[in-house]
Amino acid sequence: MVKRLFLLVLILAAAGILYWLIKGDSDEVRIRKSFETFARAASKEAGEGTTALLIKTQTLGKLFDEKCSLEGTKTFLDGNYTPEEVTSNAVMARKHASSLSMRFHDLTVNISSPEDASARFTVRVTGISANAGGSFSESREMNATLRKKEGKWLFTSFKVIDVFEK
Amino acid sequence: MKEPAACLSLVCFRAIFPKARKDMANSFLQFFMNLRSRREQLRGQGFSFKHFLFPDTKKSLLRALLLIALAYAFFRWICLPVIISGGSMEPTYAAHGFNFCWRPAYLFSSPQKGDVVMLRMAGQEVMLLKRILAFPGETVEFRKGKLYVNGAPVDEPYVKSPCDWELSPRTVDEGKVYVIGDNRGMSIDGHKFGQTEIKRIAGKPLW
Repeated sequence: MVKRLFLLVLILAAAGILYWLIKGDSDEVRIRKSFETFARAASKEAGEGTTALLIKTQTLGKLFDEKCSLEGTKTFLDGNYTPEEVTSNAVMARKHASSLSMRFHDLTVNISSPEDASARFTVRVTGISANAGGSFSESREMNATLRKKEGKWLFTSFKVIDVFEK
Repeated sequence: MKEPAACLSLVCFRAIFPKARKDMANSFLQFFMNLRSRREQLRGQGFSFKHFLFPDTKKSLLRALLLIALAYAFFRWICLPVIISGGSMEPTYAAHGFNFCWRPAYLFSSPQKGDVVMLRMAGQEVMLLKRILAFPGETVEFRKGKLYVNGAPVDEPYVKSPCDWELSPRTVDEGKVYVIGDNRGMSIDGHKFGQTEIKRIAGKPLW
């Protein structure tokens, strides 16, 4: 009985290792990790220091391609951005929030070619305003496209999907 | 001479109920001693509490695993627990409230006007809670905060806050429904509402 259990655990462990070897470093996993890095870098904890701010905003800039477009917000934010513009805008935006949390939900990735991919997700941003002190919470459904350059998946566009049409 | 277990139980009783009278403590001790003697009696008859609770360890383990799997499937795909964030459905549904999304609500029926529904966005992790107010082909408008569907005013007893919304008439497209939150005290720009695809309806709140 004990031998059988030990064998079963061994088989399950081997299956797990095999699965990780096959799928562990796939493009989809890398893209998902990019989103996780994006969420971490965009989030801000209360009392965050300047060093953390610089590291996070630098990390954020490295996730974007030379030109990344944003459309669908129907505000002045729509347009094309370079990684440097993304970084500077992120610094400005973080000043307006004493704490900020960004999370991606329901992420589905579609790799159309070895160098192109798209993703659909819901992004939820919550936080506390630095000016008024009130909390805010926004959810948006979005599409994003990515391109693979030198082994790294970089964001090339973001588009907000309208759930409602007034 | 009292047994150690009985002494320990008396000490625990005293610790939990320090102000209990001596006769209450004695009654508790008597109850405890009766339990022990009853247990000894059952053991003598070949009865074991362990076997009563877990008659067959292998089967019990399988039953427990099956229960866990069924519970996971139920709360993952059929009755999703949700926390309400945002006040667009107040006062009907308060912000930070808890509910479930009952997925099979429209398995054998269609959504009705006035139904509160949960709308999926990219998936089921984040959903929107709104009320259906118009169907395809119907015209929706707001005049001085009052809702009109097909030109007729709609009685909305669930709207408690004053509203001054103005919205020109618009027709609901095929395959869509018009949904709005109950909190009309919000500004019309700050309130997310409008026509949305009917296939986004994920279910209904359980209560």
